[in-house]
Amino acid sequence: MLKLRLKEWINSFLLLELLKGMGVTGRYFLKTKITVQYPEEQAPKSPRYRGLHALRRYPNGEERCIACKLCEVVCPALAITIDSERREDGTRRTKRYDIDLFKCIYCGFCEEACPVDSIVETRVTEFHFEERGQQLMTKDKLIAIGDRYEKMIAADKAADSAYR
Amino acid sequence: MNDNHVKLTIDGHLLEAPKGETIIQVADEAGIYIPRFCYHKHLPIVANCRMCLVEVEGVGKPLPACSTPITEGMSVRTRSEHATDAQRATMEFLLINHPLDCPVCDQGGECELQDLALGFGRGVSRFTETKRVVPDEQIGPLVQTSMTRCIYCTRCIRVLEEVGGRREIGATGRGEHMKIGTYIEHSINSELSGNIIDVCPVGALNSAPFKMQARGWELLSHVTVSPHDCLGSNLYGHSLRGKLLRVVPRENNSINDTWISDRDRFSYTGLTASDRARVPLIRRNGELIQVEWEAALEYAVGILKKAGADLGTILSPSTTLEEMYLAQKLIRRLGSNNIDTRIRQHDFRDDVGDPRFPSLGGSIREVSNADAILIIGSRLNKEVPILGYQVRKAARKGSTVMVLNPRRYDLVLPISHEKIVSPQQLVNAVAALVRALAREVNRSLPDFMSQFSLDKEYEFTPIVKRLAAADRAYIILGHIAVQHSSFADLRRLGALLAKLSDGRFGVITEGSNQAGAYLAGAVPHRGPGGVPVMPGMTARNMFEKHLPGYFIWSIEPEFDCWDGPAARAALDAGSVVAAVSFITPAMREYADCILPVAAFGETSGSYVNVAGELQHFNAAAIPMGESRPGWKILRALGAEAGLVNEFSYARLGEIHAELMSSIGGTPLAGGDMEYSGNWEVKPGIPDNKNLHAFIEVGPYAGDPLVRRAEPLQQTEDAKHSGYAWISPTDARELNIFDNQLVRISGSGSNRADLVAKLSKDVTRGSVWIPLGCGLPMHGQVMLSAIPVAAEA
Repeated sequence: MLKLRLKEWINSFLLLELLKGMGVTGRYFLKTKITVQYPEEQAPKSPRYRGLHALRRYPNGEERCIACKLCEVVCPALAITIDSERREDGTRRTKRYDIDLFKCIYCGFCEEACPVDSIVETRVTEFHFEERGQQLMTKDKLIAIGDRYEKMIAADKAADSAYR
Repeated sequence: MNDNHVKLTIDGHLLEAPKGETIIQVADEAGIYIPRFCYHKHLPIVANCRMCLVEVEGVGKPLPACSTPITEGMSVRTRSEHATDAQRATMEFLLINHPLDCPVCDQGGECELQDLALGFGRGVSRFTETKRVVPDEQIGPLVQTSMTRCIYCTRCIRVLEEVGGRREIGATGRGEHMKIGTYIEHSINSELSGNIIDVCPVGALNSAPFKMQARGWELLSHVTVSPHDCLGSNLYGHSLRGKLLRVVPRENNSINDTWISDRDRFSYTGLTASDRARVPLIRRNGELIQVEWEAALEYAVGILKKAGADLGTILSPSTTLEEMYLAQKLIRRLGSNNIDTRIRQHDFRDDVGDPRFPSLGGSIREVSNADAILIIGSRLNKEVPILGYQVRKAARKGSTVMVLNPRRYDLVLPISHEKIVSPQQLVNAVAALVRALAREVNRSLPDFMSQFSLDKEYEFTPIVKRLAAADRAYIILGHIAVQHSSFADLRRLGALLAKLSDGRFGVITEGSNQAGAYLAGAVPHRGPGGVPVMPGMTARNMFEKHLPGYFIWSIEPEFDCWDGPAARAALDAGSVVAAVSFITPAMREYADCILPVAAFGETSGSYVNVAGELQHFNAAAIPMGESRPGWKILRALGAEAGLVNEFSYARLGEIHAELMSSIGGTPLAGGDMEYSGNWEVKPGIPDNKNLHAFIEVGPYAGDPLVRRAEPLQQTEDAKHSGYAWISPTDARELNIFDNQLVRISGSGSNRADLVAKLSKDVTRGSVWIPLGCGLPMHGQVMLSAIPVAAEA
């Protein structure tokens, strides 16, 4: 015990710890930098990233959602509320599709449950709410997001399809 | 061991069961599940789906459990490799042509095929070829078809045949080409057609009004009871977020088995009608204006108190027991005895001889076990569809069904003897039948029989012979008899018929709680518990007398009362408090205060059915708008009237308990149909040359809710009721043709313009008209053609 203390005391005069620390600093100084300058720069995201939700359309413009309510029932946070109806052309559609983003835990189960790839979680993360109530994503909002990011969503789906 | 029992083992469990049962019945009893599609416990066995294949020791091939009778020492294995292989193979074949549209199919989540595919099918499909597509059938406004999904279990065919009484759909073709359909396209007109939705194991037959409304898993199920007929079929109300979206049957083997009528199933669609009463309204300066509940209650009590002893209270016969009790308590405390629920009855002469409550005179089981049934004045299958089914069941067991009606109706029953007499002559015909029966059984007749006219001879020999020979005869009086202007005589004669044939006698009452009205004291001559009290005015008297104040509850007098025009005149003259769920245009004119009452499915309560069974039910939905459950409104009215202590109920149960203490237990089942007392016999309606109009209460016209049920109003049955039906002989004499617009003029300024239809089912001298056309239920009329404006 005494021997160890003595050794430490002598070594402290040689500044070995300091040199060790500087060594680490020096190594990282020479390595490629990983810091990104957000928001000018963005870190890369996986095609499976689970961010803001969107409702997609088919290429012909028809909304994909058929109001099967599987996302609603699978949602562990009960964040989704759907009202279904028979549209004039006789097809099954939603007349209400709400996701409460305060309740949502971004687990992606809704996307997994969807039989028609309608509800998806995009890689969009930049969204915020300024007033109460804005967190309630209505069908119109979700479809608008889908329309806006369709290219990206389609590319992500294509990239991931090999693993599904 | 009982000789009639055999011992067998299923999956190693030693079981004992009566001879003649099949493996699946024994297994169900023991709680061992065998997959099945075509088997249904209340339907005949056909064994055509092959899903229930099981292994029986000593038999090489797997056997269908549904059709294999059990034998002594049989050893059945339902989960052996042999059995599951067979089940899996069957499932694979079933799925070959079944579309993969579960996400858009309404059956999704409550589908037997889905469940069994998960439990007994393969994980992946080996079928890569094209699936078959079958065109859909148009079978009416109630059932939506999607025939591609059909797996040909034929349950629907059997339901319509066994329960509905007529084979309205069938299967054509074989194998790959098999098709379920109506062959010649027509709608399914059975009043029990909705049951094919329940039995369909897949989504081929779905409820049309419920289509795409909700998923089975998100609905909350509430116990409820039918408010439309006196049997009180047991129902489940399915609601989503406080809205009633669907009604399905609840099994009760003493009433409705597993079936319900279309009226019970689809009437909920009327709940969202645009004329729902949503807010309290009071009349101020001649206008109905919206007010707060407090103001409306104060205003209502003002009217009720002002009328005092001259207040007339008329309740719907489908009001809950608790509401009836509170209403009579309130108005009797205000000094009035004028309370009635018998809105479509005209003849009250026999009130003095009433039994404790009007009933079927026995249990519903006893009807289906009767060996001779005589139906008098009833369109049984449309009035009380489930009772029609019970009589059908009796007929299938060998019972003779006989009918004495004022108009020929297709009752969808195997009728042995049918006698059609004119409605004017109905009483005399029944009297003649009584006389003939007394002669046959050698019994003397009571004195009053001499008062019935003898001027016409009737041939009743087959009916008389059958009634005299029957061990368990049953005489049933229907709605037409109840609405008849000589109902008291009909009832006394009916009871006499039952006495002479040593059988039972029952009356099919209107509404769902007429028996309850007697027990709750909501009739003028009965107090709580059904004890006789100083009689007040009957519904008929109240309208004939023009009282200063009326309190109407859940009725639309211009439709629901015997004499609609008279009721309207009386209500126009007096002050009216209307506690209703729906507001008719007429109501906006005569009502001074409208209190919105929760409708069917939105309130809890109880009913006493015609067999004396007390049944409770719960609210399934949230009352619409500002409407409140009736008992809460009556409680508040009581408190407002200064009776705070007597109306201080915290819960519905307290009201019920208070009423039950006066009824004293529930010795209700059965009910005694002895009639005592004596009254003057009314000479029947003179059968002279004059034309008489009779209102036919259509199957979907009986109460405010069904009148607003859009899908029901689109059925053939509803359309059928909207005409003036007249016999071809009368039409020829009056120079009237089929489909011609005619004017039917009654007394005073009562008249109706209707399209005439000629039918041999109508007797001479009578014209049958729909409800609410501005004429009383019976009355002498003049009929004239309205000339069609000459085309320019």
